[in-house]
Amino acid sequence: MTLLEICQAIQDTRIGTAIWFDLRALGLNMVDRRISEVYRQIDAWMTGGFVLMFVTGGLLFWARAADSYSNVYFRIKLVGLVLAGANAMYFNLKTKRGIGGWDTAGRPPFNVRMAGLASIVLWASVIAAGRLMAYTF
Amino acid sequence: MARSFFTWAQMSWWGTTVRESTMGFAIASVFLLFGIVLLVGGVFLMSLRLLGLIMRDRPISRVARDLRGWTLVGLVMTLVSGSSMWAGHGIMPDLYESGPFWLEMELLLAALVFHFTLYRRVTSRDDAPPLLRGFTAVLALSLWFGVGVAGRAIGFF
Repeated sequence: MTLLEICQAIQDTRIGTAIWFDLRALGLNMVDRRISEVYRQIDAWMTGGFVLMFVTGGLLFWARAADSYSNVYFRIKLVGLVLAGANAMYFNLKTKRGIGGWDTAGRPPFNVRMAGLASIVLWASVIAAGRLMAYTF
Repeated sequence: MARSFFTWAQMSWWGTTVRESTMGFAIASVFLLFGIVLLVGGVFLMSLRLLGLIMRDRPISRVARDLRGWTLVGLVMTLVSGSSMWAGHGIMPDLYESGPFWLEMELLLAALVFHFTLYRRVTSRDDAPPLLRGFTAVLALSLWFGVGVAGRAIGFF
């Protein structure tokens, strides 16, 4: 197994920490915990995971840049990444301002739950597109 | 004996469906990844808690209860999609002759037994000695990571 393949394996498992925050935002898990608390506990590990993901992802792309660029699943994956980033940014800059009102809510307001759902769906599509990419090279 | 079991699975409607549909195998591998995300993510966070790196103010047994449900969902997803890939694989590579495949199965068996015995016990109580907690966390991460690496290696040997 090459270094490249190990990168791929790391790529595929990185989202496992972030999803637990999304589940909390959706009101599906750890509902007795403050949302801000769950976020604070997982934050450093999420950020670390994403840094790792961009480094390994960048290497993977670099190794097959021309093939990747013309691959439709690669483009879907990029769009998914951008949208997932936009979703996280919107949540952090806008939605989170009102956190005082729903920090302890078992079932947070609609826009908070949608942020969690969007995150799960977008990351799932990033994973799916990335995997399908490998079948279409 | 095992060989005929492999053939039987490949010939069954299940194996045939996965093998003969254009995207069957690819879709199964996507769902395998979804399962791994939940399973390994859950085990990873639980291990961080056992090592005292996150959620220190929340009892271990409580964190275990928070994570158990979705981790189990992930485990079931990996088992269903993984066995679909096993039943739906073609003749190449021949899994029966594949070293990494059998290594993956051995590690999987060990991981499953460990997950529902020692791991389950240590995460269910709050008075386990720190050394046992650390051992459990490291073993959990090593076993599941080993299963993944061995599985990934099937395609390369």
